Amino acid sequence: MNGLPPRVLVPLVSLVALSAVALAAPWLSPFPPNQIPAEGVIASLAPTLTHPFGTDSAGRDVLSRVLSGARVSLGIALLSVLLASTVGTLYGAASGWIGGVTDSVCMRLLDVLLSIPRLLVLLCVAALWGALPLSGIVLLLGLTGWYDVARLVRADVRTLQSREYVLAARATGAREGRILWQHVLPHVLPTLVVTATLGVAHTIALEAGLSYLGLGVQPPQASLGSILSDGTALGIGRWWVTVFPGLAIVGAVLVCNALGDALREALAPRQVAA
Amino acid sequence: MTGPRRTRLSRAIGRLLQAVLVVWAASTATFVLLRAAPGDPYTTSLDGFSVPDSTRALWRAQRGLDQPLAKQYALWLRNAARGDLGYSTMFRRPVRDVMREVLPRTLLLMGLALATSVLCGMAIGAWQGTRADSTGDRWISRLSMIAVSLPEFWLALLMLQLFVQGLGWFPATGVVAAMHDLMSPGEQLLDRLRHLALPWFTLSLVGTAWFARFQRTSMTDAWREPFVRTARAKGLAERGVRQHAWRTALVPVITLFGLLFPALLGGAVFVERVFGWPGMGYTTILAVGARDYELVAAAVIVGSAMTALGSLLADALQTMADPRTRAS
Repeated sequence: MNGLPPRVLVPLVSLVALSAVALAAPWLSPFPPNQIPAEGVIASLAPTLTHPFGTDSAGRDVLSRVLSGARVSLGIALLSVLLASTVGTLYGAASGWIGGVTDSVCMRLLDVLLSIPRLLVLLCVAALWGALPLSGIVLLLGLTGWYDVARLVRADVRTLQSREYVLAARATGAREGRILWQHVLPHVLPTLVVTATLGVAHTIALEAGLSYLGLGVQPPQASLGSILSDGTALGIGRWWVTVFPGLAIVGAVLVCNALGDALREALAPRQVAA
Repeated sequence: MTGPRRTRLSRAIGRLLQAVLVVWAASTATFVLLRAAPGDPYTTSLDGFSVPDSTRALWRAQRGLDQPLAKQYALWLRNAARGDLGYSTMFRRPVRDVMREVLPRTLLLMGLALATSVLCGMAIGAWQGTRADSTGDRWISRLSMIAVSLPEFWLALLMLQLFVQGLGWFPATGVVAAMHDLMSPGEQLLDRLRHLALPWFTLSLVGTAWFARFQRTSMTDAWREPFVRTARAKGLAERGVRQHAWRTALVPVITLFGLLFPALLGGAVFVERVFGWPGMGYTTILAVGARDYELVAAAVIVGSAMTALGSLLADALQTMADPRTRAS
């Protein structure tokens, strides 16, 4: 850990801490997050010692909901970015490695896909299919989020393809698949790590937005975005239902953005491409 | 002379073809989604259960939904090419008419936000670029990092709770007040601005931060180029040196202009929703709730066309700004 510059270390440690808190949510939560308490709890209670983040309109503890929501939101973001990175790498690597007309057609297709606004497609799917299960949300976000990855991976593969060590490997008689897997893809990793980190930041915000609109994670299940929609349903004066989950979203997005930026400088994936 | 001009022309035609391709792809994608979805626009909506099946069958026949799939697709494309985007079951009007009403409001909001973001973002980023790693530069970088991490809908919610529900400085929803027609022209303008202020500000803040970050990077790079030292050595005033560097730093930022367009459109959807701004985004969200199939599909097509035109514009600007793209 000593070798890491503080610009990388600080957001990395924060991200690990955030994930640990999110993972430990069931044990850290003082109250059940999704269950509406039967009696004895005041709805829309301003922050107190027992409820540091207050309670929502159904009397549920907002802190418990934020913790459990962070677990759901981070999980969705990580899994869908993993899916997007896999699909994007396969597509980009194949397109770049094969080259020629295939490559041109693949890249044209990518340009077209990039021009279709992602949010509107997500809204369209939500309108047509209604409420999606968690796995459906992961699938949807993953399958609409790989275009950038594919383009960057393809660019890296194109430049790495003509390197001497690739030629040397080919001269020794290595098979194409082996060259790609052993000699080219490892060098794409810096680009991939940076894009994925920034992708997680973007996906957290996107999922929160969808869930806020009521089109992502469905109630009573908490996600960082769906808690917020309760804060505005009746709205006036109940700032704590808006502020605390929102700060959790901004915190998670900020940490991932900072880490992505720092990694970009530290790993300098552009040097690979140059 | 004809060489460069001809390549420029063929390049422009290529870009135009790509824009057409984008609209075609969006139409095809929405067609596939609409047909793959459970049910069609006429199963549940439109007067609920009181409509007899024979009437629904008639509606389907009118929209060609009883035809084989290939024929439906051809019909869908032909209609889209003519600008006929179907019928909105929520508004009970052709989708085209709904779009004609709501799209200008979104374009106004996005246009203002884009102009503000470009101007402010470039000014801030260029200022930072000439003072890279100074205290001021570092603080602004931190602030813009926070700003790009703010989801638009949350920022909008905060603004709503603070300035509308808390302080009551701005009206909550709509484009104009109910009394708008009774006001004097000056008051009317003020009324419009008061309704516009918060959505405009919210959408601009994030865009400004994006542009500032890009402009800072490109300006910092340009500032270290030898030609800047040359310009200064030959006695050019500091202002002139800045202009030289900025001109070079412009090109990567213009690329962002095209990339930012879909992001801004996405942001506009949330901002419109929170502030009740009756543009395309807000209407789309209402349509999702009402399961108004063809209106939502039309939003995807219109949004894609807007993005394609945006990148066409960015490409044209880039050609103007970068002499190298003109020569080759």
